[in-house]
Amino acid sequence: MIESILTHLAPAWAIAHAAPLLVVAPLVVATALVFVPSGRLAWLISILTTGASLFFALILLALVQADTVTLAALADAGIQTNMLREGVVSYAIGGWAPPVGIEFRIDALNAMILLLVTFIGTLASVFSWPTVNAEIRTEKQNLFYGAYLVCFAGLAGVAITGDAFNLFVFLEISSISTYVLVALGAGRDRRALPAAFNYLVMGTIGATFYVIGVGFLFAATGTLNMADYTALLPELVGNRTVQAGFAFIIIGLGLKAAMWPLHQWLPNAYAYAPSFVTTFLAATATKVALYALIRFLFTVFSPAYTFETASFDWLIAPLAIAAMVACSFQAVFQTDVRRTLAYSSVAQVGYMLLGVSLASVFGVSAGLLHLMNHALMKGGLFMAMAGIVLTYQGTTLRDFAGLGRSAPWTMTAFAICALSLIGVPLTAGFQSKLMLLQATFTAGWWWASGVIVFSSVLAVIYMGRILEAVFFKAPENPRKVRKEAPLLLLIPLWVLALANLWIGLDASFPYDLARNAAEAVIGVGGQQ
Amino acid sequence: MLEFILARGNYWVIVALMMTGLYISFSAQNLIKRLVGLSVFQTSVFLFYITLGKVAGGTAPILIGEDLAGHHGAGHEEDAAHGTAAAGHEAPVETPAAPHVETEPVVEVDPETGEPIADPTAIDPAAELAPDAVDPGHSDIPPLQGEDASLMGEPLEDGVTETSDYVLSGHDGAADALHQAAESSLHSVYSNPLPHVLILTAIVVGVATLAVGLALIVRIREAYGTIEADEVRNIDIDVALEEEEAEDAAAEGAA
Repeated sequence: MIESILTHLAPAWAIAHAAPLLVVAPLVVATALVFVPSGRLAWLISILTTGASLFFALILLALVQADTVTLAALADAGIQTNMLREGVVSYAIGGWAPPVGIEFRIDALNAMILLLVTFIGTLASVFSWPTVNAEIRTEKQNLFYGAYLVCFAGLAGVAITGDAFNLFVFLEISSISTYVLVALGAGRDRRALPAAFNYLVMGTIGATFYVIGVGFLFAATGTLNMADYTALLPELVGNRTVQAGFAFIIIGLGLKAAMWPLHQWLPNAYAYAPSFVTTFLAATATKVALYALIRFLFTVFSPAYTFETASFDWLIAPLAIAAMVACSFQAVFQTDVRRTLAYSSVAQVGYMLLGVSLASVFGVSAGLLHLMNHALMKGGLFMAMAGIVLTYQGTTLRDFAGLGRSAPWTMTAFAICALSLIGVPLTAGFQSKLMLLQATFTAGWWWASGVIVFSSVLAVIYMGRILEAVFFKAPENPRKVRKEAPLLLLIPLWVLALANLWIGLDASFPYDLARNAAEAVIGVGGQQ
Repeated sequence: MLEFILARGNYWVIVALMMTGLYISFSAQNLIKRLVGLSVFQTSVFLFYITLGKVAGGTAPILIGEDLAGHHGAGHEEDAAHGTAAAGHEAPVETPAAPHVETEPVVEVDPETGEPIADPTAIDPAAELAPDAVDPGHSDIPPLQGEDASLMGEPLEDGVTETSDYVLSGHDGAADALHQAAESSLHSVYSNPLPHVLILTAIVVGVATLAVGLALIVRIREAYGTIEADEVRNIDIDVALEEEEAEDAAAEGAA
């Protein structure tokens, strides 16, 4: 189905240069937005740009999934595909061959993450206008969209690059624009400023740790290309420089991915950022950092190394478990709904890391499936949240009382995503949690299975409190008449809610993506 | 043991700076001090990379002195790729030279110019053997050559004749000899340029972060009237408590 893009839709230049265009297009447009006079025009342009990136991501996915027949047909038609081998697209930036030049390298894992980022980015762009118009001052709206596109390009760049230092640059491009975006929430609540500042300090420390780690790897191998690392590192497993590099990289990327207990920046940043920014970040930023972590754990390093196996068993798995329990508890005691959702996000990162720490194809694909599903459900929850902020201004549990009657369409979609977060059957969350349970049982980690169930019970409590207030309490504030969020918000929101239901019924599409991705990365490690 | 510690002076400085920076950025309550700590931390990483790329006795990767001559004969294609290789090859050979090359005598020699010890010996043989190339280099940038010779120190003298031999064989016309000449005729040892380039990028990133951070501090000062993290936190807590009390009172009033 997806291959028809290659054969019918996409022009030859788009197929040949999809990889760089996906990143460069939003980056160039972002600078151009400075000169756009109106916020509405900037909004339309950013929809087009993120939509174009989505199109390029689909081309890349089709290329990665394409079989030899299709590729041969493309080659016959004279279309350059940059295929390194089946399943891997490699693009040499500026024509400099990979080990020397910077390489964009896409396999099944990147293709999946790129599709996720660009899909959420496009949907969030469509959704953004009413809430941005309400929360950002008119003269800053075009700049706001500029910063958003820079952030989008940075995240896509992290997901697409095959060069360790280039990854740092893209990580910082996305992070620095994120600090700005979070701070713009100050128009509504000044607490956004200290939140953004703390995020800046911690984010910079994380990125610097990553650079130190890359420095150690560079000192040991003399290269920055990830594929080169795969080839060179097996001889250097016992080298302490390599091991130190590993430790620094895991901590640095763990901080960006909000691995417990390095998540302190996240709750405040999500709670006080403009609603649209929270929606976009919650669904993409930590996911991309997690992708980078998986890339380093399985492609650059390999589970075959003893120090990595030890870190799976004694570092990543325990921290994942701690996140699932501790942050779910913290979520229960929040009175601000956005903070509940933010703490829940950290707990969900724990689920993904638990799947990853199993280091099996089954475990990693369960983690990746949960990563995708979580982007869909958290995106939906924060979109509904944004609609409520727009129409009713309140974000506390008390403000949410009785909203089920005032805004039934918004809150029904909210409820679907909330049920998916808990893991109720027939929703996306159920599929990934079930798969995670199976994976832990297969690995013999029965205690981890117990924690998954326990943490889900906590999710029932914290989401249940909100749903109870929404649907079973009378509105405390009498001025709450029936008023829905604008249609522009409702449509993307319901797309995500229905996606949650669809995946709950038939998870084959995301499951195949996750499975292929896991096989691609573990296959690489398995060759050693 | 003492030698082990002294030989790694750079790394001790880096570790000390790194820990100082991290400690400041964690412990300081003043937001600007936090940013300063962060910058110190980042700077230590810059130094770490530069130290990685440093080849003992190496200069910047530019063509100076005899290299200008040698390169003129050999062609321009090979510079980037072979440069690194050349630096790598020569590093172990030239390292013993490093102890000789102390900066103090060098600085004293240059201003005197009356009797430079290394200069004429370093340049004259090259001038004789490859006269077409050396002249412009000699007349255009004399200070550079002086610097080069002084950085390289005495071991240059042995190398010069060797290099010019290569150049001459390159002129003779055999293609692979030319190639070889390009590779090993790069006479000056220079540091690995890659870490320097990386750190240039990282410095730009660091400056951007610092700028955003300072802008945020300005906005925090406008919004809170203070730049102390604990005071900001206390203000937030007080405001939140007041709001909660007001809401409770309103709820009771409504009931």
